[in-house]
Amino acid sequence: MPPQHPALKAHLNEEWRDIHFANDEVRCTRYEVVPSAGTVEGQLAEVGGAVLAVVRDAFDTNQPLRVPGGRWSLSNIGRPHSSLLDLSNYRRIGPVASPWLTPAYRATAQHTGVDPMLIAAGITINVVHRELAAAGRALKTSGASDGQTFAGAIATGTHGADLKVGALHDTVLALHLVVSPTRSVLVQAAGGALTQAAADSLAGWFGMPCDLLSDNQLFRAARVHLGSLGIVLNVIVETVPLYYLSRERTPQLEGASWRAVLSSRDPSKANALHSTDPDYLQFIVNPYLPLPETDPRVWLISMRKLAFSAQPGVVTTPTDVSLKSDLADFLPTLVSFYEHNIELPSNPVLRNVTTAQLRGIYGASASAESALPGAMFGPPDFLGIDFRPARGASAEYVLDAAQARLGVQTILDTLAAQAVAGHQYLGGIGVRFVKGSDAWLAPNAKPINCFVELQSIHTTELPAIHTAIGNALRGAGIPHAGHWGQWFMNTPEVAAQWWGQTAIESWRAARADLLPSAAARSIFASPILSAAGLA
Amino acid sequence: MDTPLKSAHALLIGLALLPGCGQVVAIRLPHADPNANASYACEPSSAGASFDCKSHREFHQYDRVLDAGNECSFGIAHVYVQTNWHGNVTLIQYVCNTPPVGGFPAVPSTSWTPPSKSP
Repeated sequence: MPPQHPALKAHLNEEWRDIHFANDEVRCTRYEVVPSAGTVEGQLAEVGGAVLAVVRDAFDTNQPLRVPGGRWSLSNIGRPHSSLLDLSNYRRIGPVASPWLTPAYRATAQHTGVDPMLIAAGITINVVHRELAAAGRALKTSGASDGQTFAGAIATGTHGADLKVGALHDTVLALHLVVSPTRSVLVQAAGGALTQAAADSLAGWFGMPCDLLSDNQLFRAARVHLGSLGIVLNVIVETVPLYYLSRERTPQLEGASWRAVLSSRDPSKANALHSTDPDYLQFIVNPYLPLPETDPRVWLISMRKLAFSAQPGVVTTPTDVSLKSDLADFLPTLVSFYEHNIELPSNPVLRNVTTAQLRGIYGASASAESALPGAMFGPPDFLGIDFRPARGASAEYVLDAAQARLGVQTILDTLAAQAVAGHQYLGGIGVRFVKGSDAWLAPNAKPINCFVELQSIHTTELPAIHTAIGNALRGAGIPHAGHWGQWFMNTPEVAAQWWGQTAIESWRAARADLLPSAAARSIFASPILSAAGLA
Repeated sequence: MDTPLKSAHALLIGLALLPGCGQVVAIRLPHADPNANASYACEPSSAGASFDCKSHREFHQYDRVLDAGNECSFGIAHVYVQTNWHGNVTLIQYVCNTPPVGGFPAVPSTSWTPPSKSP
């Protein structure tokens, strides 16, 4: 007997695919939560009842259950088995009520301008940006693109390029997780900001018991939860007064000073071309020597957060393609190369097209722009384009920033060697610096981290290219790991080297604490756990 | 947030995409009563990758009919129309709408009652 609830709509035999077509299609049943009551309280009760009905069915039948999120991940972290719980229609965001917060936190927050917000975890980041901006607030940081759900973004360690804040999961105060048909939990740090009133309110609104768990071990696990600790129903996140990002972008030739910035112990202060003390630091790198060679090899991009008060010239809506930080818009032209089976090895036309594409997007001269976060990190234009038969791919290597120069050069050298061997890389490279996190499985595990993102077409040669890069990094003595939502590289060996056994065992122990039975862990397990040795 | 009106607007884009030698496709939304006084047609904008929509143009004949959106609880948000080089429609894709974003109750509840076993 399938789950029954008035606010539940079952869609049988639906197709699930990620939007990049990186995963194979899965046919499954999607249980859509459709709240329709006339009051807010009534709709929250509907959401809670519908979620519990689906979770109860999963426990009764011992069937895996996934939440589709934004289908943004290229890895199999969100890949369903047979059942999906679709929370897309649960769209609420609002300030946290004062009784939910401890007096100590309230005092600090008032002093610093921080305001915690309660966010339905199934809302996408672009909607969060929009709604917060309308309220004069902003996320402290976010990723380079914005189609992920909030729960999905933190599940995978989505990070952006913030040198002072860290990644999105580092701005989370608490997570509200449904862990069984009879229990939800509100997980925060020991001595955290929330009071018992918060858990009591959530219990009342959603009609399910809610335990407040103030525990550092659990909180460090839950913030990068890999979609495997239960259903993330709500997230409480710290927001700040609305700011805009003032961006400086400077192209550099192959022989210019960009490598010195990479090799600096403090890359944020080594970029003499831009304003000092940036909040964000990023590079766009042509994977090949440009053709013509007088074209830029690299674009240095730094950004500062400045208080927004409707200044003229600040872009406020996510429609200006010149602002895009994501490399994905670079890909559609390369698809035609692949589809038309143009001979790739050492093809000067490919170098020429890649050079022209990057110049077209990022410019041939220095530029400066200003935009709200939601406009700066807007959606890539490729949405709606069917990449088939070519598929999108993105691999993100994270290194200790202290090894950034060696790591980036190792990757560039490997790409050059692979091209000579006939394995041409059809894509671009983004390099971003991010402050560290104490979440157990956060990719930004070092004090300052260097993320090297390779966004490309999924050619038949690509697996060999990434295998070669992994081998080259290991050969050069450069520990690394990968973004959980992108090209999978976090094997047990890689995970042990990057996070260490203590972090891995602590995450697993927290999972066993939240989901005590093997059946519960199996129901909520992402397929990525097995490959990473975390099941 | 896309309103139902905007969604219907988007649907007309599909119609405007079709050249004279191609096909005209009627896209019908379920549970929708058309307003005969509000009809828009959208043509590619000269300014860029967008469309200019104007009133008072109607299609009276069509080659194919698509009853779209039965699966959508909150109407349709986007429609994509793919044509081949003959101008014939080869694929129509639509994306369901979501409800508006709302807030939470202003005064938190302080008590709860256990949910019933069968809702």
